Order: sequence, then C-alpha cells, then structure tokens
Amino acid sequence: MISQHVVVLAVVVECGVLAFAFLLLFLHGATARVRRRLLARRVADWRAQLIRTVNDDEQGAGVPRDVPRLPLREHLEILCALRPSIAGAGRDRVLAMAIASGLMRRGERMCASRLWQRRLRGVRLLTLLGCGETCVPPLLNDRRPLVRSQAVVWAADHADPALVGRLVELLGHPEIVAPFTVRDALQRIGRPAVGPLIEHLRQATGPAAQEPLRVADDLADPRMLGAALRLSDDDEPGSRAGAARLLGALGGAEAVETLGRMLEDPEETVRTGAAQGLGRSGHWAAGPALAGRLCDPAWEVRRAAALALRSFGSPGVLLLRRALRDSDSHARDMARQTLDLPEVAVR
Amino acid sequence: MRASIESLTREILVVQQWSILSYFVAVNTILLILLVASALELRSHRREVWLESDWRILSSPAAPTISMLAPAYNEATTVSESVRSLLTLRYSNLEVVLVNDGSSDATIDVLRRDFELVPILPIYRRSVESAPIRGIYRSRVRPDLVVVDKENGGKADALNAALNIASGELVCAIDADTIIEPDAMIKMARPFIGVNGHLVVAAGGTIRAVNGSKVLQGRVVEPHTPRQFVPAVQAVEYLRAFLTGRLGWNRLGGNLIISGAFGIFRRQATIDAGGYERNTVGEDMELVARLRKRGIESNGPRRVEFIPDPVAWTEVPESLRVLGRQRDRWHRGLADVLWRHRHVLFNPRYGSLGLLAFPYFLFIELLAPVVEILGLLGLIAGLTLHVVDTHFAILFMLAAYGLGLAMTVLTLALEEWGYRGYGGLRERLLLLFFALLEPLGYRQLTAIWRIRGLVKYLRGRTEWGVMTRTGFVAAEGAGEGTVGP
Repeated sequence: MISQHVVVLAVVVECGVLAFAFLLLFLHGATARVRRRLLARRVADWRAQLIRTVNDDEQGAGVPRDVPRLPLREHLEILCALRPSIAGAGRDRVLAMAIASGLMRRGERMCASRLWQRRLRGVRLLTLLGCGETCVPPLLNDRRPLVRSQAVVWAADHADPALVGRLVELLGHPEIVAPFTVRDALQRIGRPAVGPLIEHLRQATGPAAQEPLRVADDLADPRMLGAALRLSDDDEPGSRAGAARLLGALGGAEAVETLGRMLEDPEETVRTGAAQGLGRSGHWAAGPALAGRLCDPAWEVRRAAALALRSFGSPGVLLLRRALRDSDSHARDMARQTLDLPEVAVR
Repeated sequence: MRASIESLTREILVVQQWSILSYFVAVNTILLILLVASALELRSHRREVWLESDWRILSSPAAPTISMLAPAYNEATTVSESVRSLLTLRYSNLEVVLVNDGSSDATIDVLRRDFELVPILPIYRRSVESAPIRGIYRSRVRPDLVVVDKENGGKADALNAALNIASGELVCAIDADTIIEPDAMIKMARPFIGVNGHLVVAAGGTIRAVNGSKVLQGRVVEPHTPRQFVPAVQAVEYLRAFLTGRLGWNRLGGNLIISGAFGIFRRQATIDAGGYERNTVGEDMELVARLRKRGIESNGPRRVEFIPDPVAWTEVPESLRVLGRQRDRWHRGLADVLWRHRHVLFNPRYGSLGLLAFPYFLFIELLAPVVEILGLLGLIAGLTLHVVDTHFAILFMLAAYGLGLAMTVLTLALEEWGYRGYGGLRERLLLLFFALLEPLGYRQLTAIWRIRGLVKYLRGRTEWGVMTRTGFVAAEGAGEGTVGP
C-alpha cells in the first residue's frame, strides 16, 4: 500500500493550496474594496468635471488643467460610459481631456508593443478616443486576427480612401478578419465605401464576390449596376443570387429584365434571389413571371415568388387569387398561405 | 476453505482499492488540467473583451438576427414575467418565439391576456417534425413576440415547433423560467461574429442559481447566494461546472454540453441536423453532439464555444426529491447520448471530440458515481476485514475531501477574479461555507441519484419527472422579493 507519509504529504500540500486559494479570494476582494473606497472621491470628481466640460458650450477648446491622476481602469470606465452618448464639440473636448491626461500617448505606445495583448488594448483605447491616425492603420495587417479586427473597427470611424480600399480587400476572407467586422465597418463608412466596392466588384468572381455583394446590397448605389449585371452571369450560384438581390435593390429596366431571365436559372438559390429582387424592385409587370414560379419545385422559390407578388399590392393579389385555381397543388397551397386563408392555418 | 475465501476477499479488496485509488488520481489530474485550462481561458477572454463596445453590435444592421425559443409547460405563474424579461433584452435583431406545449393550466390564457395575442398565419416550412400546432399568435403590443400553441410533445418537440417558425439566423433555446441578463445576447452573439465565427455552430454561457436573489420585473436586481442548503450547494456546483468544467473544455477541444436552460445555435445547421431528438431526455446534449459530429463530417460549422460571462439565472430545485429526479434524468440523458453516438468514442476522425470529450464524459462523468460508491463500499469492507488501516483510511478520506474542496475554492477564486456574480464578500463567504459542506453527504447523495439514473436507463425508462417551481411572481408578491422561502 501507499506509505502513510505520502498521504500526510498530500494533505499538507492540499492545506497549502487551500490556504493559497483562501488568501487569493480574500486579498482580491479586500484590495478591490479598499481601492474602490480610496478612489471613489477622485472618480466622482473626474466624472463631474468631464460632464461639466461636455455640457459647457462657452468653454470652447478649454480643457481643465487639473486632470486628476487616476489609474487607467477607472479613467477608461468613465470614458467608456460617456463616449458613446456624446458627439460634436463635446466629443472633441473629451478627446482633448484624454490627450491632456496622457491616454492617447499611452494608447500609441501600446500599439507599438511586441505583445499582441497590449497592441489590442492600444487599438481599443484609440478607438474609444477616436484618434491614432498614424499608428493604427498598419495594424490592419497585424499577425493577430483580434488586433486586425479591432483595427477594422477603428477604421469605420476614419473613412480614408486607402483604408476603405484595404477593408474592401478584406471582405470575403474570414480567415483574416471576421466578415461581420468588415461588413459592419463598411456599412458605417457608407458612401465613401461605394467607389472602392465597385472597383472590387468589377474584378471579383466566384465565392470572393459574395461578401462584397452583401455589402453592396446594403449600400445599393446606382453605380453598382454594371458590376451586378456582370455577376448575374457568374459561375458561382451564390454570387448570382447575391447579384439578383442587388439588382432588385437597384431597380431599373435593365435590372428587371435580367431578374426575369434569372427566374429560369437552374439553381434554386438564384431563382429565390431573383424572385426576392423582383419583389424589392416593385416592378409589378413582372407579376406573371413570378406567378409562374408558384409551381417551382423548390419551396423557397415558391415562397419568395408569392411574397413578391403580395408586395405588389392589388395586381399581385389578383395573380395569387388566380393561383388558387391552379392545377398545381404547390402553387395553390402557397397562394392560400400567402393570402392568409384560414384553411391552412393549422396543419 | 474459510481461510482461503478470506484471503481471496482480501486480495480482491486490495486490488479494488488500488484501482479506485488510480482512478481517483487520474480523475483529479484531469480536473486539475481543466481548472488550469479554465484559468487561462478566463484570462484570455478578459483580454479579448476589454474595452470592447457593446454599441457596435447593438447598432449594427449586420448583426445576426436571433430568435429566442422558449418552451413553456404549465408555467402560468412565471410565464408573463419571463416573457417580459425576454422582450427587454438589449439586442436589436431579436424575436421571441414562445411555445405553449399543451399546458393543462392557464399558460396560454395568461399570455393572451397580458400580451394581447392575435392569431396569425405565417408561411413556414415544417423542416423538423413536431406535434400538431393548434394556433400561432403575434402580440399586438409587442410585435416581436410570437406564441405557438401546440399539443403536448415534450421540450424537444416544442423546440422543434419553434425552430420551424423562427426566422433568426441564430436560435437561442431557453427554459421559459430562465432569467436572462439584459446584455446576454450581445455576449452570446460574439462567438458567431468574431474571428473564426463561421466555424462556430453553438455557444453557451454561465448559468447561476437564482434562488435567494431578489427578482423584479423579470430581472435579477440583487443577486444573493441561496440561504438554504440544497439550492446553495447547487450554486456551488453550478459555478464549478461552468467556470472550470465547460470553460476549460474551450481550450481542450470544445464542449459537449450546452445547458438546456440557455444555449444558442445556428438555425440552419440545427434544422439540417434534424432539430432536437424527441426520444431522449438529454436532448440538449444530444443536439450538441450531433451538431459537432455533422460539422466535422461535412466540414461545416462545428465548434461549440463557451463564454464565461454570467448570462442567465435559473431556479434550482429546493427539495432533495425534485433534485434527485433532475440528477437522475441528467444522467439518463448522458448515458443515452454516449450510447447513441458510441462510434465517436476513440475515433480519430472526430479529433478532440472522439479522443478527449467522449472518453471524458464516459469514464469520468458517467462512471464516476459508480466508482465512487464502489470505493466507499470497498473501504467499509476493507475496514471491517482489517485490509485497510484505519489511520490510513482517515488520512486518505481527508486527502480526498481536501482535494475536492481545493478545486471548489480555486473555482471560487476564479469567480472572485472574474465576475463576483453573487455580490459582496458576505455572499462569497456563504458560498465558501456551503462548499465546505458539499462533500459531506451531498456529493454521495448525488452519486446515488446518478446511479439510479444509470439503472433506469439500462432498464429503458425515459420519463422526465415533475419539476416543481416556486415562481418569481409569487416571491415578489410575498414582499420579500426572493425566490423560495
């Protein structure tokens, strides 16, 4: 059997671990408590001063000289709470105060760190402050995806053409930056993103065009029509479907004609996109073509066609009513459901 | 003859004690690894979310739409409060799909009255099977609330019905009585929209015991450690399970369990996998195992992430009888999932799922209670037959107790460092007090319940058992503002 000494040793070691854990537990709690108490007054003063500065229109560029020495955490907690809800001159004044308190310098230093965690903190800090034009853009090519992503978030507030171009390049590369981050940044940038996006769509083919098409769909600028028409013939069904939705958002005779043709595409995702696109364009003359899709073998296409018809108002409803007598049972069912007829309510 | 039987018994007992000792050392080594992995994961999570703005997700049209799926069965006392709490969550693209699973009480009437429900006829595809639907309603006062009234079919069936109706990219399955933190959805959406988010198929977060906390308007306004023994030791258990178990698995290849009380999934992947399995009592774990397996086989989204942030509160059983039924059911569910997906075990094709997670759940989670009880019985026999030295036995028990306690206290230290979800120092002291008591009787009792579950599973019994809830409304009405007496 195991020697009794070994078990005694185990018990002693456990006692040590327990004592350590207890100490950790209490010291951490106690330190946090003491820290909160010690800093409470300074934190309250600083918060009040910041709010006064933001609200004081007469103050101009005047930044309080007596910026208190607060630990970074407390400083940032106040800024984080305040920053999203202020804009204009108040925001500039808060930034000036942050610069005066050395936060910006600190963020810039962090961005240059060899440790990725510090670089991440640096970009987050500069994103919060709204500065860092020199040190953040290179971090779009950082080794660490988290740092790259945060640099993209920062770029959303700094619509420099070169930066926007880089963001567009990053679209459709989930291994480099999360698609949501880039899409969100480009949507926030808005109009300045249209040019680089069109440029990108002119050359993009296959799966690489899908993410840019999603962003284009959100921005829906008429100048995108050429690229959308070109991509409506792409080999990749996902890209054709994306192009169909974009064409629907753009509208116009050429777009509608292409969408009508796309309703006959062999891929159901493309037919669905085309039906949705026609619905969005509001081109009720496309009603008969959509009514024909009510007997499509794919449920998604039938649903998209029926909803598009309904969105046309009276002309579409008329076609849906006609479809109630269609020889195809799928078309009849979908028309009934779309018209909210009770016999299919519960099944 | 008698002497030889005695000698044989002694030899068997010695071998048994050695086997159990080895098992004990192996299990604790693995738990220690999980604890270290959790600490590292917690540190890296805190770094990742430091100064990250919630506003970016809140204000983004690109943020994924989320449908909350809430099955309710005889929840008339709590359902309105729970729905109100869901409707006030901070997330812009959110819909709530509540399923009344054939309740025999006034659940649907309460909902009709409180939310002015009107019948609707949505076009939906019956992608996964469920019991017949009696009606679908939308709230006149809250258009983001859809109520599905269906015939009773169990929780999995209700979730399947909700899956068919839901329109979100992500679906969040909850129990109707789960109280969710206001910013939980922002936190839960993060794994799906972050780096490598396209690989994530499901995510879960930390759930805490709400018993003893002050609940107002469907929100936990004053968290407290439960004062009663049974819920309090469960609070300790939940912390250990979430903060060390599941968080640690993030680093060791991904989780196999997402709590049924709160879990978020990719809707299309869930539908493609066939939705929830209706013929099991462990439908949440079964779905996670199936999603991971399918993801690996089809090279689709396959990662299951756990975030340490406290995202939800649930009412834990306050009586030993109800708790026993719950633990027995959990163990039957675990056994069923491991049996259904047995070909994953030690199969290198499934990577960490087959080589780490499945063996862990089989040899440690499923079989631990059996070994524990065998060990105790062997120890008693050993002491009776003088095979085991009494001093040694006492010391060994002390060592085992101390090790379990050390793990729990280290988990509490992680909680202190990370979140302090139960409030001030006094609450943590209370948690510590109950952590000291937990190994003395309670743990052995849970082992017996789990063995009972295993036996029931082997005998083919699949009933859920009744879960009695106190209800938050009743607690508020009592003036104390607490759940339970």
